[in-house]
Amino acid sequence: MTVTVADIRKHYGSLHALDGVDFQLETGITGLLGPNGAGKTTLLRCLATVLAPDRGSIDVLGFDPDRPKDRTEIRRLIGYLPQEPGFYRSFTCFDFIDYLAILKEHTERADRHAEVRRVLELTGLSDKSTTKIRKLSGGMRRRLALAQSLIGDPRVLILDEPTAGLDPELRFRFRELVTELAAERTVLISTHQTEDVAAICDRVIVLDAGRVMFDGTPRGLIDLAKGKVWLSDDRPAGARITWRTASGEFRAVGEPPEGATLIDPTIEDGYLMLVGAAALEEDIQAA
Amino acid sequence: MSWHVDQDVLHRYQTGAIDRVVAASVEAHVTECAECRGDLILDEIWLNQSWAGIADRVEPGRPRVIERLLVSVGVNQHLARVIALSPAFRVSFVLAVILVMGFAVSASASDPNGWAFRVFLFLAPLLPVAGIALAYGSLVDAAHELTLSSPIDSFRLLVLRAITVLIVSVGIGLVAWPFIDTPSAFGPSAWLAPALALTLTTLALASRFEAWIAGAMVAGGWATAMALALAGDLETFNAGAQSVYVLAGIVAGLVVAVRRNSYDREGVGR
Repeated sequence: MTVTVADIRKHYGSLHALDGVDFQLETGITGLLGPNGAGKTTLLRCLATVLAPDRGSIDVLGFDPDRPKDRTEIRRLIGYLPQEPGFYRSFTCFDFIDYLAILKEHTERADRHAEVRRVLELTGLSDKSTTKIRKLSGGMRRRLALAQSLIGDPRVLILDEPTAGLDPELRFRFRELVTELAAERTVLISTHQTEDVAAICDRVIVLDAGRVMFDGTPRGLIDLAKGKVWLSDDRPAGARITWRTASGEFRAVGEPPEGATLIDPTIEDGYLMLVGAAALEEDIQAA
Repeated sequence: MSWHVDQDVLHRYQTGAIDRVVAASVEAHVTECAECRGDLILDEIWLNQSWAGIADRVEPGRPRVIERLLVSVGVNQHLARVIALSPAFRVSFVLAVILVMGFAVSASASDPNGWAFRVFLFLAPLLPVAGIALAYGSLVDAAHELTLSSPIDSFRLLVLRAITVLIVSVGIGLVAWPFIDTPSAFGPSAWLAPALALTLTTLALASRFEAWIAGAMVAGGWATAMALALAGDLETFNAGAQSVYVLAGIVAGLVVAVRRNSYDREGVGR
């Protein structure tokens, strides 16, 4: 077991961002799905030792973030990509990663520079090493943020929406990279992209209103919508959500009427059955 | 290619036993001739080191003046980099300090013992507070979240930056002090003691609040106290008051020491 989260709670005033979350992680990729405000970022910040939960315990590779010395150990062993990493815009890619490598205790200059080159290469940014960050596109900045999380070859990777703002090709390259890394590491990815979860995650945890609503395989999440997705010629009443497809038929998710033409559900359908239409609409708006 | 490099010349080129002109000619040839290039026995390790050496000249930006200065006096390069990013070395901060001191020098000449001196006594101790408010936290440090999640000792980083802020602001203040026309009863400690007390209080509050909020609280408190005290005479800065500042500084310093593990994580003790 590399990460254990036991009954952690975090509230901001009357808002319960995390309301008793439990799970354990092992080697492999776990996707964290949930609507906006579900507590995903709060959870990842707690795991990255940036935020202290109000209650509950966390164990990362045998270390307890509540103990200062353990906290430092955890920081040596994890890579963290925050939702909004923040950059020094006047720095070049190389200098920015180099600075963060210093913060990560890579004090020997030649080794550090080799490490900076390695992570820039991994994220396809080698040819941008002397480009100032202010001149980078949004997708490149996202890759730069990912690059810094890989410094020092961390054993646990905590990635908050790593694919946000990446075009399809970059997203595929991201999947390639992460699946390669996950062979020997624990990777926790929060995302809005159900396709990412279906494509690369061994396991998926759905968080809503600070609680774990589902913890299982992507297949298990899809199965929640088995027999609940159908096609119809008219807009069906009673469905949780319906949209008109390119073929002119209506695709509906919910409780199908008698004799409906059932189709195979996707992971999105399973997520929808779990979290509800309101949450999905909110996500669509956010995207 | 109608001619090829002589094997003996090639061997001497590889072992470095050749003069520069001939070496340049060999290089010009092998760039074009795949056959001779194939005859070169490359030392992969040496080659990779060479490329890394070239990249090391090209990729890292030129270190800031402060970083080079610190390195030249024996500070570790990595530590110098971290210190050089302190707000104390931002042009805006240094200018603000120079402006306040310049104001004190020019105004006190025409208005000795009067309001200019009082305004100076009010502003000078707030300079390091402003510097510290800018030293740390999500509002001012774009990469604060990344700093918090890295193993570097955040408390040490904050203290290092606070010290640089103090050195720069107090340093400029001490240079300006002899030119400020002051009432004879006051020495530099008239503002140094409050400056130290306010700085340490800001650091103490920063263990619970974001640094900029801590700075704002201290500035607000100081402004209120001064509004009450300065309207009258300069008692607030006399010898008796100095000991109060020193005491307050010691208490705040103790709080900082006790809460030193509260600086590297949010949501602690709130």
